[in-house]
Order: sequence, then structure tokens, then C-alpha cells
Amino acid sequence: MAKRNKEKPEDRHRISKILWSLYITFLVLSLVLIIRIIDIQYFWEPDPQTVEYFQPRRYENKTRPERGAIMDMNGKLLAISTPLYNINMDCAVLKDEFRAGKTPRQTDSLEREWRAKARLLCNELPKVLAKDGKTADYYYNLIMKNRESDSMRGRRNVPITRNIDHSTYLKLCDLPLFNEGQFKSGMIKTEVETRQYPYGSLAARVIGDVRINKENPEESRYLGIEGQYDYVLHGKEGSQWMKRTDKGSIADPDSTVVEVENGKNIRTTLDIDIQDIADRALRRHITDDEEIEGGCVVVLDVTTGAVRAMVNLQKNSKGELGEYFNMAIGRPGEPGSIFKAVTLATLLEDGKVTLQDKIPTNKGRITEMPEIAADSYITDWERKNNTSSISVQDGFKISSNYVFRRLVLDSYGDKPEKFIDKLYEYKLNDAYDFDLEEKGGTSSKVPDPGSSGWSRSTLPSTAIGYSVMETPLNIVTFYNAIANNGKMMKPYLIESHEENGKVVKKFGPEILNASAFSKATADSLTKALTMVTLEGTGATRLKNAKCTVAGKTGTARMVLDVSERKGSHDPYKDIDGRRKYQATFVGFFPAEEPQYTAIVTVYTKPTRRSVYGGVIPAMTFRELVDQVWSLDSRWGEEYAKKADIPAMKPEYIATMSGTAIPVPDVKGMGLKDALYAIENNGYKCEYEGMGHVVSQTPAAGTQSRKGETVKLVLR
Amino acid sequence: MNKTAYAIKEFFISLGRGDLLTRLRVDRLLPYILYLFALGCISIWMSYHAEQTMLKVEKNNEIIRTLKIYNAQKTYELVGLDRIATVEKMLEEAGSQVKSPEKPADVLD
Repeated sequence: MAKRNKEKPEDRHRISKILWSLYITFLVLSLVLIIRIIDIQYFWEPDPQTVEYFQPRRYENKTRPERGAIMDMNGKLLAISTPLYNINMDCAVLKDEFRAGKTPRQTDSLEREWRAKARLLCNELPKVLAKDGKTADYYYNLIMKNRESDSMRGRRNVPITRNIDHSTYLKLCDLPLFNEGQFKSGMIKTEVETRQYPYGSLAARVIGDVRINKENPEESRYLGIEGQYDYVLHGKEGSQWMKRTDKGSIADPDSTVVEVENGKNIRTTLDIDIQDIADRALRRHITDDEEIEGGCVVVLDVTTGAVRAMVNLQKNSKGELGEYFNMAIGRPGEPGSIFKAVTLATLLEDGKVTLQDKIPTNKGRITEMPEIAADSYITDWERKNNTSSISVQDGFKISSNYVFRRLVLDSYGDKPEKFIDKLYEYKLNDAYDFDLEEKGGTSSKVPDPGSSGWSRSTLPSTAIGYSVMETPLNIVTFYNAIANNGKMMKPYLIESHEENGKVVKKFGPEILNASAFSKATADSLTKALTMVTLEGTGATRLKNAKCTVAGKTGTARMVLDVSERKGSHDPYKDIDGRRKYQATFVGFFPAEEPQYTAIVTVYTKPTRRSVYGGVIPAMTFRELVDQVWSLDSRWGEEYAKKADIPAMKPEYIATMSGTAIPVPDVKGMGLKDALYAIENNGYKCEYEGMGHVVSQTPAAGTQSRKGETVKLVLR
Repeated sequence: MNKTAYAIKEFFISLGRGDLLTRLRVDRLLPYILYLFALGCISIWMSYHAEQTMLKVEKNNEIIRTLKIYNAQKTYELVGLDRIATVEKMLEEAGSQVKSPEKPADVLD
């Protein structure tokens, strides 16, 4: 206090002045600040680049939808999307930074260190990228050549490998140098969404593919299920605005979000095991035959019409088999003798004949049509059986053209449209909106009695499978109706659309004709078809199949293209006398209780050899039948129950807790149950023998200590 | 001197004396000012943590995506092994006597 009193008035005045000055300074500064804030807020126009720099950067992140998978009937994946990776390298990474080192010595040391790591990397690369077949020196020279040059184009993006899978990519990331990240190693990864087909080329044409040509969209390719159901599989793209922060990008909560909608999965009716069997069987029989152009196999489920397999194999210019065109649905041809079943069905259904009816053989000649050559099968029949008549069934069994021409002329000669109308009822002129279309393919065609192309030979010709054009799918659908007691099912390939394991759209069996013919007709046809494989044209290959097959062989000459005829006037033969054949075997099995209907069609190149439906197609069919039959436990032998095994009583199911649980009675039990009961009661178990427990030591009910051993004898 | 001129004069005088806020009785509002300040701090703190969480979400999304790719890749590899032809080839290479079944499996009642 005393000290304060001692202060002079001049000093106080001076302090006051200083404080006042300070206050005024801060006051002025604060006013300037307020004015500046107002100026910035309302009047100042900042430089746009500066604004961009200071504000968090936003960008639109588009999320590609996951393409749906294609599955077989059991959910096995036929097509899935996984990314593959292309790896490039910025060979000049850190080079400039090293150059900017404080001393030349430091620069040299850093560069040497980087190169040493690159050498280690290159030593490991051939091991990880074995499929590329490159050496360590190749990689090192490639990297160094690009690193040393300051002007080489592309040195900052040198391709190291392409299309590697995720596991290989992870292995690369662990290699020396690459494990230091992009900015130190120069590793550049590009992800390429790729469609993968785990079963390789199996059903490749049915599964199809999508190849988009961005430059010329009209040339984009949409094939098979992939192409036709692209709108289901593709899904919808989503977008989300992101903002960059110091530590990475995050979703901008203030922006709108378009949720990505992943593509739906498609479950097909294909059974990949049957597809595999059919594919291998056909390959085995046509690969080495140079005169075979290709072939197809279709397998249908009898009761539903579901397509279980659809194989289409054709040889390319190098003679390699591949799936290039869906012949089963897009390549109609004159079916030949397999069409006799259609004729027989019509005759039986209209009550014109029975299988036992006999007609005169007439040396195989149609009297009113002398231009038609005599049927050699009939002359053989006359000679072998010393007879001048033949039953309808025998005519079908030996596949006589004469018999079917004669029967049709006698029954429908004056009203051919009645016969043709039946073909329409059998949907033989119909593509019936099948789940797949084949670009460049054509559909089946039945002749029109009112058209200018109809002649007096058309009807008998149609009866034996000429003058009509049928796809293998149409034919197998008809035979499937025989197997299904006259109910004609529409073949279908798509079972359902699914999302996260749930069915969102279900497709199913559809009836094309609930009664294409009566059950009696179907039974007669089955009998006639079974005779073909037991005694007729299919017997050699199918008589001893693992189950009874009802089917028909068919061999048809194919019309040659003008270029193939080489000046010949005969449409079926070139100038060198070579013909093209379409050989088929179609049928169902087991004949007694049909489960599958199948067709095997083989196409030849122009050849001097005769190729019959009873040979390659029947052999393929036989292999298919034997293997499918062997894999299906429905046809396994059933073992009936011969004795009762005592059921486990609740008291045996105890826990280890508690003390002194009596030894359970396990007599009569199997070993598995006995072990469970004993060990659950806290005892150890030893056993000898096989079968059921006949004695146990100690006896049931004995109070033993935990961990004691119970000995069992099984017999 | 009218009222307005007087008020302006008083404003500048009190500004000069440094007791403007006291004269305006702003001190009564101090708790509210402090409360507002605290709210501001909490808001900034929460924004910061929201951003950290979002970053974590994005990182986890990336991990999930990588795992999905891994899963798809392994599924693809496994499915490929399921083919009958592949199984037969593998059995043959392993010198196994196991072949494709020659008859359907027996069914136990």
C-alpha cells in the first residue's frame, strides 16, 4: 500500500497512456477484422482454383452392379463374375526424387537400393507368373530399360502381366518392392470385371456371352442366356457422391444416393452332370472322325420338358471341336426315319392301323410311283422271312420306307391335309417361344398341301421324314410326348430368377398339347420304339444298355449348298458322288418308366461313306444312357429292413456333469450309438468285432468312476 | 442534441472506456454464450468423429469387397473341380482305383 502511495502522478499517467494505446490498437484491429469479415462474406470474389483447393473435393463414385450368376438346376454355378487384374509398372518411380538427393553419393545409394529390391522382385516374378513363361532376367531388363531412359514412351506404365486372378494378385503384393506400395514400387493395378465359366466350354453356346463394342454398339454380341437375359443379369448402376478428406474419401452425407441394384441370378434347368456326360460322349465319338462336321445332343426331363442338357459341338477350320452355333434350336433339317414315329402316331391315333396289321410287301415298290426305287429293306425282309407281307411293327422296326409310304398313301392319299394338320397339332411347325433364340438360325417347316411346292410325292416323302424341316428340339419334344403318355410339354431352360437365394420370378413346366395323342397310342409307340432297340436298327448299340431304351434311328441325306455341289444337278450329291448326312438317334429311357428323352444328331461333311443313325448317334446315346443311369440312385437296388436296432433311450443321453452315472445298457446297439451312450456317461470305450454289441463289461447299471473303460464285444 | 446522437456519443464513449459490453448487460447472457460455445465445440467434435467413422466404414467396405472377390475366386476354383471329367482325371493322376459308378447307388430302406 505504502509502495502504491509512493507512485508519482506522472507514472500513473504514463501507464494509463500505454493501456489506452493498447486498447485502441486492439479496437482498431477488431474493427478491421469485422470489416474484413463483412467484405469476405458479401463482396469478395475468390479465385475459383483457390476455392477448389481449400474446399474438400467431391466426386461422383459410380458403383457397377454385380452381374447375376447363372446356375444349373442344383445351384451349381455355370457363370459368375470375378475381377481379373492387369499389372503394369511405373519404372521411373522415385527416380526424380532420388536425383534430388542432397549429394550425388546419396542419390547413388538410394537408386542402388531401389534396383536391388527390383532384382529381388524379378527373381520372384517367374515363380508367381509361371503361366507367362518369362525369366527373371526378362523382367529385370524390361524394368531397367524403361527406368534408365528418360524419353521412352510408356515407361511409366509398362505391362508386367495381364488377366491374373485375385490369389495371384495377392501373391504379387507380397513380393519385395511391390510390398512397399504403389508410390514406392510403381506397381499399377487395373481391375477388369470378367465373366468366368467354371465348367469351361460345357454348354458354352447355351450359356452364351456378351461382348460389347463401345465404338460400334450395333456390332455388340449378345449370345445365349447371357445375351438374351442380359436385362435380368446386368442390374442397375448406383452412384454416390464422395468427398476427399485428409485420410481418404468418405461418402458425402449431404448428397443424394442412388442405390446399386445387383443383377439377379438365373437358375436354369440344365443338369451340369448330364451335360458333362453328353458332351464327353459326343466328343468321344466324333473327334477323330474327320468326315463329321459336328453334332448336338438334347436331353429333356420327361414329365416337365425341362432341358437337362444341350450340347452343340462343331469343328472349326483346325478340326477342333467347340460350341459355335446352337444347332439344336437353329438348324432344322430333313429328319429322315425318326419322323416315321410321327407318321405311325398319326396312323394309330386316327385308327388307320394297329401295330399288328400286315400289308403286302410288293417287293418294296410303290406301284403307282414307279420313279421311287424299291426298298431294299423289304426285299431283304422277303428273302430272310420267305414272306410277302410285313406287319406295321416290323416295318417300323426295320425302318422301311416302303411300309410308311404305302400306309400314308392308303390312309391320306385323298386327304393329305388331314395328315399335315396332325403335324401342326404335334407342334412340328412351331418354335413355341423357346427360352433361347439362335441368331442366324431358322425354324421348323411343314409342307402345305395348298402351296405350289406340293406334289404327289410330297405326302409319301413327308411320311419318311423328307420334305419337312425339323430342328432336333422339335423332334425330341415330340418323342417326349410319347414318353409322357401323349402329354406334350414345352421344352424350357429357365427355371427361375433369384435374388440373394430367394426366388423372385418362377417359371415352370408348360403344356403345349395336353393330349397330342391318346395313352393307348403312346403305349403302342413305346412298344414299337422298344422293339427298334431290342431287335431293329438300334439293337446293335442299345440292346444291352444298362436300362431299356425306346428309340428310333434316322439317317437323312442333306441338301448340299450350290457351292458344295460343284456343278452337280442332284441337290443331294456333288459331282464326285459325295453326300452329306444327318444321322440321328432319338428315344427315351428307361422304356418302362421314362425319366429322360434325348436326341443325338450328327452332321457330316460331304462324304462317300454312309453315316447311319444306328452307329455314331446310337453309340453316343448308349454312353449317355449308361452313365446317367449309373449316377442316379432312383434306379438303385432297394434294401428292405431286416431287423430292428434298439432305439437309444433318453437316460443314455447324459452329460459329463454329476457323479457316478451308471454304465448304460448298450447291448444290441450299433457301434456308433454305443460309443455315444458310453462316452456321454463319462466312460472310455474299447471294442472288438463288427456288427452289434453282444456283451459289455462292466455290466449295465454298474456304478463306476468316470474315465473307467467299458469293453464291448460286437458280432 | 437528439436521442440518437446522444446514444451514438455514449456508444463511442463507452467503447473508448472499454465498458460497452458491461453497459449493454451482456454479462447476464454469459451462461448462454458459454453454452453456445460448448455446443459449437461438441458439434465440431461430433463432425470429426462422424468423419472418422465414415472413414472406417469405407475401409471396411473395401475389406468386404476384397473378401467377396476372394470368395468368388475360390468358389470359381472349387466349382471347376466339381466336374465329373476333372474328378476322374484327378483320381487317375493320383493313381486311385476309384472309377465312375457302374450301377446306381443302393438305397437303404
